[in-house]
Amino acid sequence: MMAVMQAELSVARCALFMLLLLLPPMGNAVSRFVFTLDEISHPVFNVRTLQFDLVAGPQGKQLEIDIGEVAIKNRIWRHLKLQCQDFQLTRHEIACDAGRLRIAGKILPVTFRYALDPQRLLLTVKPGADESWRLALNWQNSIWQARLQISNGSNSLMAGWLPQDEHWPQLQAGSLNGVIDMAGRESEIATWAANLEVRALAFSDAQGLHAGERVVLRLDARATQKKAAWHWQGTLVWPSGEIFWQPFYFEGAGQQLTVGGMLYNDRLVVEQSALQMNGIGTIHFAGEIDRIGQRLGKISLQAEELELSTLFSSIIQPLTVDTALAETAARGKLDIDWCYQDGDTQSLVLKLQDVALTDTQGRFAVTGVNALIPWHSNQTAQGNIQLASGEILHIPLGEMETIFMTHAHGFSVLNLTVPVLDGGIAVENLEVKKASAGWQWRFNGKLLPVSMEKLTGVLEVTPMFGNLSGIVPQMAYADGVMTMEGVLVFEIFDGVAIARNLTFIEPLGRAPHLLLDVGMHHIDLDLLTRAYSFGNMQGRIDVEINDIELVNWQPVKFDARLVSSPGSYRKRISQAAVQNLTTLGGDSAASVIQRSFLQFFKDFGYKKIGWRCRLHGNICQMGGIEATDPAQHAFNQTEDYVLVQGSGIPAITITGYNRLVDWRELVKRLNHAIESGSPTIH
Amino acid sequence: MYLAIFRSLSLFLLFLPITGHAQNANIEIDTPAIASLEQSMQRRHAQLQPYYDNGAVGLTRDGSVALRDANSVPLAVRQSVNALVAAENQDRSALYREIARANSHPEWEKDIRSTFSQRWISLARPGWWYQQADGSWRQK
Repeated sequence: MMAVMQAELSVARCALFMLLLLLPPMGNAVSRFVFTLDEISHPVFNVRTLQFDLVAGPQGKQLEIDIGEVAIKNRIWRHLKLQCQDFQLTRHEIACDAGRLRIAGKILPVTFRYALDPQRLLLTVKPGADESWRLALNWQNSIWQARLQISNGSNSLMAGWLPQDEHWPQLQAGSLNGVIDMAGRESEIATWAANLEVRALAFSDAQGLHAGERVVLRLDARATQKKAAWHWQGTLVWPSGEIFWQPFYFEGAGQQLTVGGMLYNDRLVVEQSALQMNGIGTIHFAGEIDRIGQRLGKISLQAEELELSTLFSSIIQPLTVDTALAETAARGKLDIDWCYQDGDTQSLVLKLQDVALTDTQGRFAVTGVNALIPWHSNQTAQGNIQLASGEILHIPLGEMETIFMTHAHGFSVLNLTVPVLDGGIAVENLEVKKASAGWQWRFNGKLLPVSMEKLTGVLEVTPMFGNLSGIVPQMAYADGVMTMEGVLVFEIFDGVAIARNLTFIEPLGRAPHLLLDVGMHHIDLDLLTRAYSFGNMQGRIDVEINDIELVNWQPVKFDARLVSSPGSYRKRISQAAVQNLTTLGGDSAASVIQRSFLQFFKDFGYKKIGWRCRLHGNICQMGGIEATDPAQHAFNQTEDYVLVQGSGIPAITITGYNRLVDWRELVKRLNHAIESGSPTIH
Repeated sequence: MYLAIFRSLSLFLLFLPITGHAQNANIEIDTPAIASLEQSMQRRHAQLQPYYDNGAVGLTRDGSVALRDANSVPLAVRQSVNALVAAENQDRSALYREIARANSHPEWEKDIRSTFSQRWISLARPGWWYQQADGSWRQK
């Protein structure tokens, strides 16, 4: 070892050796030699205040070495003491078979043997019964080789070499086994190889957000210095144990990281490396890290046929807990080609193969998705997507296919037809972009006729008949709000309904709000009441429902006004309808019918119908036919109001008595009347 | 249990001042959205309660919940507790927003959140952890 140390050390060691050898045999007398060195400097380590105290007597030689401070790289130990009760000294060898080393408050059994020809040092430290650290060092002139054999190395010794930052996870348990080989010239290491296994590793930070338990890791690594670079390669295998690294959780199941590359003074180069993740697939990567600037220079990453179900649940989902994807299940295959450089993604190409995404809350689903999605930071690219089927807010979507163009901040689609039930949405000029406030999109197009019967059927709401269609000058989404310019036109019950001022707030949020106004004109009451088994009515009505607000598809606010349409047509109302209509204004009218002679008539004539409900919260403020006198409108101060004004023979007038009605109770009663299909009076 | 806490909170709020500008807010207002959120939070509470009890999850000063000490949660469960916390916070944010909207004053959301924050802590069980104004955690 002399040759690898600097001159000061060499001189000191030679002097010590000479003096030790000159110690004469003294019979029963005891001789003592004390030697002190102020400092030993070496590129790898530094020792201060080193004192040798050798005592030779009839019982043999005893050595005691006190060291004030030992520094190796950034680690410092102070007040070390080596005691050797059976110190052996010959012309060829120095040996201590039963030494004790006091270091960091611990006393460790130590043996060492130092031979001069050939030069060889064997040092063994046994901190525990089953634990040993054995160093063998051979050298000749300036060339040296070293081997460190570790058996059941304790976590306390391993922890000493890890960062002591409180934010870093701290070792709590574990043992290290294996061999580290090194070789070099003078103070330089030329090559090293490590074959290590960590068992029962446990670590955690203070909050438990970065922790591992029962982790087993196997490392096989080697490096060789050639000219100005270290050529290195290694394989790390994780056969068992579990790790939680906020927000990810993984179980060891044979995952394997194979890496290699070169280490320069200014950068670390990673070449043709691979991460094999069980249940997901293999990711190949290469890159470069700027060691001076401490930043990622560039990365390229490729993977083919990754198993999306596992990738999604273990990696993507934990990153999207605040989005609708948090409750999404995925399956299919994914190819990735990602290029990152100078702090930004330069390109990302995704290929989806037979992918399905299903929201566990039932808000959306797509199946049979095959797509090529190319994206480049500085140029446009063309992609394509095919979709076998889908569903959004319980509305089924049919098969579709389109091409699209991606650009730096989003993508655009020129034409796309989305089949919806027996109709569809023709989307034109769709522009999607990522803004600072999140994703935004807009398009114009038209709604191809969709059967209202099918639509209301899938939405599981009150059935309606006719078609839904419309022109959409612009549909836009930004800041969680979807707005529509233009109107949607419904052809229902031989009349027309128009929806306008449509705004959808947080459509995929916890409580989606739908705001709109709806006007219905010339609705055929005969068709309407037949459809709902409400009891027959004949006539025509106009309905205006303004300020509609649906939350979770339940109405919380609207102002509805229903009146007989102007014009001449047959106006009749059956007893069943009379009975059910009374639910709108109190049930006293029904009682009147049942008790009176009117029960002998099948139907009645009427002049006009009027009903108004202004809903706020759960209360519907009711009204009837508006007075011709403007001073007495539907919500006048009188308690009663007329729902049906009679005319002809026999005629019936239905009056409501309750101005304030619990909306949920009202809906419950109407639904009961509709569902029963067998009103009390026929 | 959770429903009881929620109802108690509602009653409690009737007799205590609301902070900020939302002093006239009807905290007990009932809408389909609020009822739906209450039900969702109620269903989740049974899953969260053990983590309130052992201190893994605490009540934050802004009316949310947080994973404050994951050490008391088995490693394999920490990710799902994370997801529970995220889902609970989404519901809580939506609840404050819906109450403000139902009062026809969306701008009251911040004050309603602040009021709920104080009351959640007032009604927390002994042993549960809550965040103080300076951000530090304290056990009730």
